Amino acid sequence: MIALIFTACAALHAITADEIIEKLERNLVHSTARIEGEMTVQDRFGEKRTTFISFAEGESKTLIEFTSPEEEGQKILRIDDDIYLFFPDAEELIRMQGSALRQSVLGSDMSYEDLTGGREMKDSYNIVLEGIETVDGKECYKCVLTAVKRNVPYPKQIMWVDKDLFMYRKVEQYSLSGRLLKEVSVLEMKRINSKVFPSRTLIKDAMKKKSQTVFSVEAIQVDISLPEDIFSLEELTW
Amino acid sequence: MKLWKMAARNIGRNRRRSILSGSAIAIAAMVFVIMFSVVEGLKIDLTDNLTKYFTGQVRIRNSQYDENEELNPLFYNISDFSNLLEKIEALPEIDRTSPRIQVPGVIFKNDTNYTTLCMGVDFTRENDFMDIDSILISGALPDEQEKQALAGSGLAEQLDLEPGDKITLMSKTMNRGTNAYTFTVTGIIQTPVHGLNTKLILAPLEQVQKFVKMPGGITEILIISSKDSSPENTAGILSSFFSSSNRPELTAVPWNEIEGSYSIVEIANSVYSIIAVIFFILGSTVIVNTTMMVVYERIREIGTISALGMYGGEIVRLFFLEAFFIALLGSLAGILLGIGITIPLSHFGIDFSRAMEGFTLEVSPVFYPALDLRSPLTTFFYAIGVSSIASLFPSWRSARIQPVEALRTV
Amino acid sequence: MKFLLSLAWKNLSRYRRRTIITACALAVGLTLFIFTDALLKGMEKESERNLIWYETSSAKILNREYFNDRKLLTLTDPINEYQALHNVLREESADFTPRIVFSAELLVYEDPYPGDGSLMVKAAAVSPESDDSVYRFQETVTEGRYLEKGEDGILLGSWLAEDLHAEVGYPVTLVTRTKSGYYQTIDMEIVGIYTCPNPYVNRSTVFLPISSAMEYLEMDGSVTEVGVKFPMTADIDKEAEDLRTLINDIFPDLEVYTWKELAPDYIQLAAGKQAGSKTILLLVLIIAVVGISNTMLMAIYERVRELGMMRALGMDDRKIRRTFLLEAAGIGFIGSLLGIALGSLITWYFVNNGIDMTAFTRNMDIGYRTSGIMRPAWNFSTIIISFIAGILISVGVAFVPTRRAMKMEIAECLRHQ
Repeated sequence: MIALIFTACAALHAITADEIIEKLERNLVHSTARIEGEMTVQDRFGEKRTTFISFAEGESKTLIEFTSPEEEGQKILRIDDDIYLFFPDAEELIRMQGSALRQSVLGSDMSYEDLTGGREMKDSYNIVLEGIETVDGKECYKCVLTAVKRNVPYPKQIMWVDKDLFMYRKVEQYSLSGRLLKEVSVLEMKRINSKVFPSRTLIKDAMKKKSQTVFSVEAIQVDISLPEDIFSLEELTW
Repeated sequence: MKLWKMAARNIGRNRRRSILSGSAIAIAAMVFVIMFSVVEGLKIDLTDNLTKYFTGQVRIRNSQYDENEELNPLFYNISDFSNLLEKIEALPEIDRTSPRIQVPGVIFKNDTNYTTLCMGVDFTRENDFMDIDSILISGALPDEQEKQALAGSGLAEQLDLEPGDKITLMSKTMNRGTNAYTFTVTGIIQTPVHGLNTKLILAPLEQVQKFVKMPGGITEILIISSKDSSPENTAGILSSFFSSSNRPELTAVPWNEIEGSYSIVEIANSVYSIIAVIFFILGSTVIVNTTMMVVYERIREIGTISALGMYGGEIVRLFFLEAFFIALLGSLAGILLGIGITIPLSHFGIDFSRAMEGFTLEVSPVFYPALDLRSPLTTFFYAIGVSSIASLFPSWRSARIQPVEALRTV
Repeated sequence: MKFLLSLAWKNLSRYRRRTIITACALAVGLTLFIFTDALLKGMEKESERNLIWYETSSAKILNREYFNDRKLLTLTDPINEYQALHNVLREESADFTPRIVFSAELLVYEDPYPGDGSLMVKAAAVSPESDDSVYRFQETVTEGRYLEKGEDGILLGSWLAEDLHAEVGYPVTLVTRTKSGYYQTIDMEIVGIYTCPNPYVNRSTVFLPISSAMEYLEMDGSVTEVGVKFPMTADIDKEAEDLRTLINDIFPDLEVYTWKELAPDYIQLAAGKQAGSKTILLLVLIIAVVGISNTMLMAIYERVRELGMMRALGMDDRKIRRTFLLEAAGIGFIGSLLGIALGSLITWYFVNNGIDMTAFTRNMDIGYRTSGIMRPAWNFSTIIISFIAGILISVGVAFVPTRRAMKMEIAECLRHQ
């Protein structure tokens, strides 16, 4: 009995919480990436589908181009913590700043703010490994993240990171009072090159019953070469 | 001798007295006429603003739009409206229509955002409905085929806009997406409603439809009903029209049933009623007072004719006739004077901007008195009535005094 | 002079009817003028009061940066040095109260509510002890009770409660952000529902205790605004200036804003309404003056023969004129006194009881802030001016015919009708 505990503990201590998150982040961040994806938003008025192509460089630059007919031509450019919106009918770029970033993107459960922010969770959070739990039949490290810096929106998050694949299966995001705000579930994971990425993600607003968003990746290419000025404001207006 | 001839002669003989009491009645009548016109003007101003800019006399909307109004649910719109509008305009109870789309658009500028009310309108119809030419203070109307718009004066001031400048509005679209649209401001408008001027953007209907991606749809139709149909009646007709044309989702609500808007008119009405009562009391006392004085002043005269054989009833009738004639002339003069003053005022308006302690006002508080045939007529009969009746009591009293007593009065 | 005075007085009492009728004309005119003025002023004052009692207070102390974006209700530019400010203000014995104002999404759920719902609201965290020295919310609570310090209780506006089908004792959740940007949820129980005469506030604002907000929003002792009350009769601009001098040196980031600066759109509206009021007042004045003059003129003309007789008896012209004018002044005095007494009485009655105009109070989107009960407002300057004007008008009006009579031949005077 005691031996088992020792083995279990040994297994636990074999990896630190920080290391788990590091490995997770390595999976999430690509040098460059091109993703064709789809977003389905459900709220109390019904369902809405949007398709897009997004380009990313590292963790600080993203360009999203919408391809669904309703959003045809619209683009979102993110450079570090700045967000610029391009609309075909508008003759100037709209810069989202300050409290405007808290608005949701196309009515989904993701806000502009969620698009910004670095992936360096270690810097902003104190991470504690609380053991191993099973999610969807797979064993996961349960990591509890408590904010130490005040520049993140969620003061507390719990992540269940798949033990073998180092990709989260579930994330719960909490308010300062400890109320569950959002629940992120990865419904499907896939491999590309040496990395694992979430190919179908469900985000649920835990405060509102009928509100949820599903992201699915239809096609993905990583480590490709991207045109030089793709993440520039000038490019955005094309 | 005919009583009325005596009365007439008495009036002519004592010109000073007649003029004095006649002019009191005239001035009272004149003030009444002016005051009622002012009040009427204020009331019309209020209801005008309400019907032109906010509710119309009847408002047609998708019934579910109203239920979820705070969310501005564009998908609960009036679809396929041009067809519908044609049919509505064919109804005899409809005088004018104003199809509109209301969009709360946000302007991001100078590190801050401004919430605007972007109203998509049909400028041809709107010229009748809202009388845009009269509120355009600079620039020109937009071209409906172009991405142009008019900006409210308050908004223009905040953003430092002039005709030729561009503004970009962002809003949710009908299908809950997002869109932004750049308009070139072609002109600045100033409505009498200050709160509207700081938010209003008036743009062509088709442009706003493209902005929020709502082809063929609008959020509301405002109606002015024809003169012989009350708003309630028109609303009823429209409701039955909707059910019979298989558009059950549409509702037609008369303006006094639209929550919140009409109550302000009701408050104004009650306030004005109170003021009208005050005027009546005041005016009546003036007339009564004057008439009474006239009679008492002539107690000796009454004594004389009494001694000469005229009996009480005749005396009373004589004085009654005198008062009546004076009131007739005075009333007429006063009313004509009142009308004469009101007519130019109703064109040029009453402007009190100089009395306003030096605030920098964009809107001068000008309002236009409105002449109504009812008030001069009522005033006329009222003035005559009051003074004639007012003469009865004192003359009756005086007639009863013994001639000897009366003759002794100084 | 004494002789003239007693002569005037005797005349007045001898011709009691004439005196009374004339004095009454004057009295009625003045009464109604005073009352109309008070009524119109009351309406003005009420709008202003609604603004000051429930929205802006007489003035607010804000961080300069906050003022520019005050409509956004963010927590990014608060008053950080509140504790120090509090001490300074306390020494000055000013009436002040701190508030933390923020925007939040209010969520309700099925059971006990009829269904799920959410609404954006303006949340004002107030100090239950001091808020009422500046604002007047405590007396507006119509159901349940007012807030208590440190509790997780919330006060809802009646129209807001109606829209949500909320009742006292129901739970609500506010979703908002802390000062640093963390998501925060605040679970509260509705302890009371208020109905204040200001429809803007009724529709959109919820109240909670400031100590709770301080904690939940991690304010670190900062507040977003400090409301200050000046006495209603004080000169607002001067008081604000005094306050400004007091705090500008110690707190360079803070500034004092009077209610006029906080609600400029209200000023525009009020100015417009004043035009209407002034016109009406002018018309009342015209009728009143006409009434007075008319009666006065008649009274004088009636006595031309008497005047002639006095001249015939050898009385000095000047003395005769003075007598008549003194009489006129006497009538004026009596009438004015009666007028302001009556006017004040009527005003006093309605100031205390108000004119009830119920059923008109829902929803007003056009900027007016009024409720269902109209109250006139005391306007002492008008009363005093009316008194003096009454006497002056009487004397002024008596002047002309008296002079005319003086110029006539004595014989003509005696023959006068």
